[in-house]
Amino acid sequence: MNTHPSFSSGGIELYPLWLRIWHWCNALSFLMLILTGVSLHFAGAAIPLIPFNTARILHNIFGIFMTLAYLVYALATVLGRNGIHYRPQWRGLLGRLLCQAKFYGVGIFRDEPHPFPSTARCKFNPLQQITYLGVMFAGVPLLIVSGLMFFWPELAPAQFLGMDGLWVVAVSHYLFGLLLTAFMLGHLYLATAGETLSGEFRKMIFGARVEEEKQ
Amino acid sequence: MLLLTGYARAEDRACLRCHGMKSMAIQDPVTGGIRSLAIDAAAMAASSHAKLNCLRCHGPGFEVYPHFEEAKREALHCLECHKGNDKFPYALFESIEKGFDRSIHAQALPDRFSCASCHDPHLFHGLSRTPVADVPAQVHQDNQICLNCHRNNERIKELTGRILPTLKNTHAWLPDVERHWQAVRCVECHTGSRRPLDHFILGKSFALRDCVSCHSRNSVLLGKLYLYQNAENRQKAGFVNALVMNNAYIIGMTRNVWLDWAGFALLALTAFTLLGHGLARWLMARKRGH
Ligand code: HEC
Ligand code: HEC
Ligand code: HEC
Ligand code: HEC
Ligand code: HEC
Ligand code: HEC
Ligand code: HEC
Repeated sequence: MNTHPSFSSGGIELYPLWLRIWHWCNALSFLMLILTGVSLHFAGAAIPLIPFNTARILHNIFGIFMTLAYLVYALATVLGRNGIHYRPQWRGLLGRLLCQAKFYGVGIFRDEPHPFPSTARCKFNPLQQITYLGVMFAGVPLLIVSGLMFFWPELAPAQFLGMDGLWVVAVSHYLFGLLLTAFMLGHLYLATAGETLSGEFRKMIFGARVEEEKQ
Repeated sequence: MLLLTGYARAEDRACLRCHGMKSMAIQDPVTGGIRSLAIDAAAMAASSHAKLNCLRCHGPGFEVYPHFEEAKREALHCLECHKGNDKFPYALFESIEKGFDRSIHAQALPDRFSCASCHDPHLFHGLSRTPVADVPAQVHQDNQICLNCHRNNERIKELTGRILPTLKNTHAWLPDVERHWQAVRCVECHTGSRRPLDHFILGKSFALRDCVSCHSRNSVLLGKLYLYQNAENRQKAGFVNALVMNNAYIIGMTRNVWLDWAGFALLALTAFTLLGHGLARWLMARKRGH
């Protein structure tokens, strides 16, 4: 295994400090947005929720916070080194995806080694890579854009396929929120499925260095 | 001129010769303000009273000019014609009158406020059976009634001798005020009931301030603004689809039960799968003796 705690200074940091800070900001915003979003959506329900106006203000604040954090993340990822992890090697991808899926379905129960351990070239396994690519560069931006549209409802299309434009925006926002919440559950669970139970969490707190690959 | 009177019947042309002019106005001897006496014949032709001639409502004292002073003093009231018959049962005149008599306006200004303060009898036309697509138009028309005075302190001053604080300030607690006034009517918050056409406008301390009374499944709007629209949609598309096809999104109210259940099912299934996987991992690890 070529990952080891980051206290040593050699090699390449897979989770640089900015990324770890962004990650926990994003996680906090996301949790708050789920909580306040549910309160807004189910306003007036019998179950106790955050009061409507408080929920609205918090949802706005954390929505803006997450948007700014996302911009930092996206810029740093596209321009910086973090981006290389998001470039899939398309050839033979399907086979590698199946291989990883098989590991989660079978190998993991038999304590088999991870088929695609983190490397300096790619810290993600193929399944992670494709999912994160979709989530971070399609799901989250769409969630953000549909959310921002509520600040400027006049920018929403007046009509969309014969339906009220804002209605479509609102329902999309709801659906993207829902899908990303489902993703978050999976994300949280799979974080326990690294080399050790808490290893992935520790990486995201303390960072993880790997040796540079010899070309 | 000819074009304007083209809408009018022969009997009305005599009046519209003068009152059809857009600039027709006098200086009010009491307040000193300019009072328009122009009647828009085209708009009147589209109103509820399109079929009535001027003289059905205005007494014979107007047939000559200068008009008789007694004729001008005659007060006209909608209910003089609309009480005691049920020609227009949906217009609910009797309950409207009861509500109006108790309303804050009638109480505060008993002789200076009448139906005509809000409804220009020459323009008034019923809209409460608006099709879904026209909700914004109805909101606009109904709010314009209130805004004619409440955005025009001149008129308030004429009536009361004082001015009121601007609506922007008194509604600063409501986010996105302009947006709300395009989507929701003043009477939604300023009348206390869920009855349609409620005219009992309450004092400000009784006005609706609770967001959730609109932003929830059991929204007051369903009984008022969206009453007819809902009925119409339900007939066309069935109850379930009514809200899917609703034309506006109102946070907390426009909720589709099936979508909510599908979302719940997705999250429950995800959680269930993950828990099962976790449990299996734990059991297998125990079996291996870790
Ligand atoms: C020659 C022009 C002329 C004609 C024709 C005319 N009016 Fe007038 N009307 C006036 C003027 C000027 C005033 C304002 C001065 C006044 O009150 O006498 C007025 C005022 C009025 C008022 C307002 C009274 C008030 O003070 O509240 C009414 C109502 C009215 N007219 C109705 C009619 C009707 C109905 C007809 C047709 C049968 C008619 N007028 C024909 C010139 C005319
Ligand atoms: C359904 C009844 C009705 C009909 C029909 C009607 N009016 Fe009136 N009119 C009224 C009432 C009520 C008022 C008093 C409004 C007020 O107190 O502000 C009025 C007021 C007026 C005024 C005074 C200006 C104003 O708006 O306050 C004029 C001028 C006038 N009418 C002209 C006409 C003319 C001309 C016609 C025909 C084209 C006509 N009206 C048809 C009910 C009617
Ligand atoms: C002179 C009597 C008279 C007065 C005053 C009068 N109306 Fe009417 N109104 C009528 C008549 C007659 C009709 C039926 C017109 C028709 O058959 O097209 C009518 C029709 C209506 C209708 C039903 C038509 C529709 O479009 O749904 C409404 C609502 C209405 N009037 C409201 C009012 C209001 C509000 C006032 C006061 C501002 C008023 N009326 C004053 C005589 C009057
Ligand atoms: C303070 C302003 C105000 C006064 C005064 C007022 N109304 Fe109204 N009226 C409204 C508004 C706003 C609406 C639309 C609200 C609604 O549909 O609930 C309306 C709606 C109506 C309608 C139904 C129109 C439709 O959509 O079919 C009728 C009929 C009516 N009013 C009659 C009267 C009569 C009669 C009086 C006098 C007793 C009166 N109004 C006094 C503001 C007023
Ligand atoms: C003809 C002008 C006029 C129109 C139209 C009008 N108002 Fe008013 N309104 C007034 C005046 C004047 C006052 C102040 C009364 C007073 O306190 O003396 C007032 C006061 C009020 C108040 C404050 C009551 C309080 O407790 O201080 C409310 C709320 C209100 N109006 C709501 C409405 C609504 C809602 C509508 C439309 C359906 C409407 N008004 C249409 C003139 C108008
Ligand atoms: C979402 C509910 C809501 C809507 C919509 C709404 N109001 Fe109000 N309005 C209130 C409440 C609550 C108050 C009491 C505010 C206070 O006393 O601090 C109020 C106060 C007022 C007052 C009294 C202001 C004063 O202090 O003198 C007037 C007048 C008024 N509203 C008119 C209107 C008019 C006109 C409209 C439509 C354009 C409207 N309102 C729409 C809830 C609403
Ligand atoms: C009388 C009913 C009513 C009340 C009370 C009400 N709202 Fe609304 N609200 C609406 C409607 C209708 C819309 C839909 C506007 C649209 O078409 O975008 C809306 C839209 C909104 C929006 C979305 C605006 C946008 O940009 O699209 C927010 C946020 C909101 N309301 C917050 C609140 C809060 C917070 C309160 C309480 C302080 C409140 N509302 C009270 C009816 C109401």
